Amino acid sequence: MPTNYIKKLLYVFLAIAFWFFVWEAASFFINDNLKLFLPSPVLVFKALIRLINKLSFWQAVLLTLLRIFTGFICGVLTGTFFGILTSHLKIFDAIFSPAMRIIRAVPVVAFIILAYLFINVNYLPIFICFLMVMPLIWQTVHDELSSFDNDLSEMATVFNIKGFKKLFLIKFVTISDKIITTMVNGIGLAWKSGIASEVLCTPAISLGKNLYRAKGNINYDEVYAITLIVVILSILIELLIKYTYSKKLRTEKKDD
Amino acid sequence: MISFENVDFSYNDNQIIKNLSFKLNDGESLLITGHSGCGKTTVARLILGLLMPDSGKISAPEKISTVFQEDRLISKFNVRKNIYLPLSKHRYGFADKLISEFGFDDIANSSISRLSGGMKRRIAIIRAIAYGGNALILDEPFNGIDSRNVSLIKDIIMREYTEKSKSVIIISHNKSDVVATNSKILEL
Repeated sequence: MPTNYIKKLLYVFLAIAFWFFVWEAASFFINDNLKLFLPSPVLVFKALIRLINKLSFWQAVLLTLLRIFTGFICGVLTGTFFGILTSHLKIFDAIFSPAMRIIRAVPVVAFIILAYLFINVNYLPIFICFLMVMPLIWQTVHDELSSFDNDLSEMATVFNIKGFKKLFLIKFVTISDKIITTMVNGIGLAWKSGIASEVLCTPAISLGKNLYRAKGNINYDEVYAITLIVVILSILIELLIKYTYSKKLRTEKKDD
Repeated sequence: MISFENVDFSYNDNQIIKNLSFKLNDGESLLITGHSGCGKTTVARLILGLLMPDSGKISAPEKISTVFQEDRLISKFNVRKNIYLPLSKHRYGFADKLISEFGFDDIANSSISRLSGGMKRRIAIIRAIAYGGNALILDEPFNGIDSRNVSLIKDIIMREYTEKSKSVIIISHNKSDVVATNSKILEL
């Protein structure tokens, strides 16, 4: 194992140990002096073990993942489609760009409350994730394509590279780094908004409902345990996107 | 055939090309030379249809290949993918032959970003030759390329273009960049 790798692992371990120590100390101080309740890492860990031994918890994890991922994918695809449209045709830019900017500016809670009136609670988190991710992706695709490198566009014109080939093999390949960065930001946003909408609308089987119920029962060690799961899942998905993209790059750059 | 008849062109009221006329028959080569900023690249862009003249008439074949002043390669693609990019599948074999002739077999699957400026230049030249077309325009093509490779490139251009009755235009401030001894020279 290379020394750098061990060093990196050691730093990660030290960082985790440091924050666990801070948490334990804060829990001790708050519970003892302020008479408030902040569960210690040990209590949260026990709650975590209790949760992961329940089938219903895994069903909730799976359905929440499915909802958030569906909303995210729909947002990426629709945002990309509108980005292409508004960057190429002025009329679509005039029609859709203000709408996208408004969607970006409206607070997520307002959307959840409004959509609650029209959409089945089981599908509402999908819609919310979609609404959060779509304008983000749209903005990146729109901006990058609108200001696309003129030299490469001319190269495509001279070599008669048109339509989808030009769009995907030249433009999208060139701007892919920016899109991936936006997607990584987008998945974080999708998690936050998806879980928030689940907590507010409590779909039958969901992490959000578990979180809401745990809070209602003043079961704070479980609230923290579920939050920890949410954070871990969010990080894992983020890493998955980054890993898939870097693997693709490595394959392309690999020598024979 | 490529011809200019009394062509004028200006950028923002600054006249770059004034009453330019020349004619290049199929199979002939032309070196366009002159000091920096005299409009050499503008002539190439007019031939390629990337600019429109203010007045005058330009005749050029429909399919023209080119090496731009900048390499204009896709940094995310490897060497082979960059060369294949504008080609239809039936020209892949010809492109592979050129890759071998240029001695790039070993780096054909390497990322463009790892290569030197001279290598990138040669890849842009391979891409242009592999694309084919009825004429070839090369804008400062030999920058950063050693003399042995320059003569190899000139030989391949002669074989694939002038000997097949296709026109070649080289834009350079260096008069020794002519591809053939009988090349025409246009000084702007």
